[in-house]
Amino acid sequence: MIRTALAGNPNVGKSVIFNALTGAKQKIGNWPGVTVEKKEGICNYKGTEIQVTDLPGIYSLTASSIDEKIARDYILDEKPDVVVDIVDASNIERNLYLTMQLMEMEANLVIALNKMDLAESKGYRIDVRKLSNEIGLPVVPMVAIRNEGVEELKQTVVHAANSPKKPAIRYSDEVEEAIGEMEKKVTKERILPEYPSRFVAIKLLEGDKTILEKAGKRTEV
Amino acid sequence: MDFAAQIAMARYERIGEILGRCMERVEKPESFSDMIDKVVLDRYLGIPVFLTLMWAVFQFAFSVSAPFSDAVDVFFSACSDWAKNTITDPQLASLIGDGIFGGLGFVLVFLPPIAFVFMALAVLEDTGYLSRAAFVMDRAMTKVGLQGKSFIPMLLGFGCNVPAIMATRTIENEIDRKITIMVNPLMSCSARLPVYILFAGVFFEKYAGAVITSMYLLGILLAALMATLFRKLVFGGKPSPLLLEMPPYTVPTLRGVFTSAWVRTRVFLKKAATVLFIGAIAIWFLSTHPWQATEGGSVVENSYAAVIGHAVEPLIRPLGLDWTAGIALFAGFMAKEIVVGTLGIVYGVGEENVASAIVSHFTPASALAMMVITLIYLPCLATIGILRQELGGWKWTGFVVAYELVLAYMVAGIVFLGCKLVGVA
Amino acid sequence: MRIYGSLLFILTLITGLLEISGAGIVPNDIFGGFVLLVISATFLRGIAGNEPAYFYFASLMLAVFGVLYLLVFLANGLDAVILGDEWSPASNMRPEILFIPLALPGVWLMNRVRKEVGA
Repeated sequence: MIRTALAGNPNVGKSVIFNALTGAKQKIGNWPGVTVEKKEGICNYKGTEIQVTDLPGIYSLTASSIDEKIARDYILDEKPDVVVDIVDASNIERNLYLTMQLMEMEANLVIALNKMDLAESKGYRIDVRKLSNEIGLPVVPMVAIRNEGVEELKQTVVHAANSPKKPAIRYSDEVEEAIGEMEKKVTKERILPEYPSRFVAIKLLEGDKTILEKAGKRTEV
Repeated sequence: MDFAAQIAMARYERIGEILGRCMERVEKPESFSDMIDKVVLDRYLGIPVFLTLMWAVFQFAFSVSAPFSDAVDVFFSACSDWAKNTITDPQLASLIGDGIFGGLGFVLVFLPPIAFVFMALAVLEDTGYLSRAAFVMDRAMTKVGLQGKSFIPMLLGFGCNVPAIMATRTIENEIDRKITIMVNPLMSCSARLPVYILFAGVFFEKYAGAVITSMYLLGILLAALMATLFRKLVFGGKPSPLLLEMPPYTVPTLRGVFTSAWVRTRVFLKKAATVLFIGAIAIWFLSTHPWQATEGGSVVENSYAAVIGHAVEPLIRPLGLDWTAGIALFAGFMAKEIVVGTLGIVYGVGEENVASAIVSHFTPASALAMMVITLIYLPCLATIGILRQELGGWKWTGFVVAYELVLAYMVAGIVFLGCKLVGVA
Repeated sequence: MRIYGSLLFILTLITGLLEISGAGIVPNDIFGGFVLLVISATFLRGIAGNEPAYFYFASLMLAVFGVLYLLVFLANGLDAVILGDEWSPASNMRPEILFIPLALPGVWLMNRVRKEVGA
């Protein structure tokens, strides 16, 4: 069975895709200890079972809100086989910000580029193949509300689970230099070795409270 | 510049690079959604249109679902009568007829309005109107420590707090959602109306309408006040700003609406219903036992419920209320619908003649106190079940119960003493 | 469209005022009357600014309430059957139900525009 999680900004059509994938076979509960709704479901692609977990809609992964914390912890600790990042094609610039952060976490990503039909109404056209090449990840164009692209998404998820991709993203030299130095330190001192070292380095540099706390506890001991 | 800002910029730079290579500009037409948004976000028409659509939701949820609720009621009353007629052992007959079938009926009558509320909400959500509605109401709601998305659950509270509290699931922010849930029971649900009608009708005749309306207004006022207090003292922070994306309008599909409504209704059935059912049986037991003393459940004065009524009497005496009001309020804990009926049983006059009987037990001032307590005091059992489920445990549920009891006592006291001061007996 | 919109504006305005005042022929329903007045104001705004969007949306609201009252009408009937009460279709009839056909042209046009320009 393939374990996938759906991530994405609020209002990108995440619940529509979730419903299209799982139909009525879904379970609703709360995330442990909090009153945020958790939805899980199962779908099937040519005999392969795919378990789908719907993460809360979020704009970033700073763990400053409960929703962000839930999403981040799930990806880091439960390590789903594939993370489907749902991107609203009609608001792509803002949405890709989350994608960048998911890539930093080195999650095995598939991008579902939803609301393709609306991109043009916002005044632009997206070349999906070029986007996929640029970003180094599989991109599935979708219009989930019309059920377009759902089968392709399943296929891509199954494929991605078998051959995971974790392309590196490189930022400006100045930023990369800082990250590189910190990363060396992280590796040397074995800070949070269960997480990707580059991700830990970025979070430490950002001054992320929860990661600092986790790392602090560990190094003091 | 600190690193957090630096990397945020670096991320956007990278995004810009990527998009620069795979995006091309085209002419942007005025979309259908832009057109409709002109109407629903109109400076003058926005709020009236919103209120109008809310009225539609309200009608749909509570008028159209009525026959289904009545069918459930009729069905279980029939089952109950059948059980009482066929089972010879009276205690067992009472348990099965009044306790089990009565309890099941009591729990399941909530099912139709809940399902209908969720259907209406799903339509609003799926069309894309819900985020516009939140936008339209956000400014007013932020002033009292809530946010735009709190409005619909608050409004639904006038019908029944159970589906209203479940409707808070559309609020993403944890704290905003909690506060909305916690003040929701202050919205006067329809079950409290019979109590107002009875007391206002008997004691305030000509001004009954105004008295009843003021109860509703008092509820709204207290909800706004408590929400502000909770925000300031308990949770801190500000209502989360609405980072609203206006999704384009779509025509909802029947399947989508039903799936969404069914999945959420099922949650009610599964969890809340068990708590409710057990509670219903408990109240049956208390009001019919000890079996000998109550002569088979017919003399309520001798029941454990009456013992409780007497026990709370010293507490409510300063508000001009006696033990009969105590029993009625205790029974009202199960469902506020039965407050009037319980008074009828206690005075031994039946529901139709309660009006004449209460004159000897209440004064206009204590009648007002009784109405105020009914408005505020305890969420009914169904609401407590749903509070526990949605607040994720007993801690916050207990807090809601406690603050409501204290608030009810205080406000009723102020009203009662205020009446004395201005010379209303 | 402007003439038709004006007709609907007058129709909803008068019915709304009648419902609020309780002048007889139509049921006395303050909230229902308010709804009609909002719909009528939306029609008016469309006529005044010559913007079809208001005409479409007002028609949609008219249709939604027509269907809603139709459902309430049926629900009341069903309720009467269940409870064994007296029920007369005439006393439960509401003008909004009769307005449904009048709202259809606007709704139909709205849907056509939606398909043409895209959501």
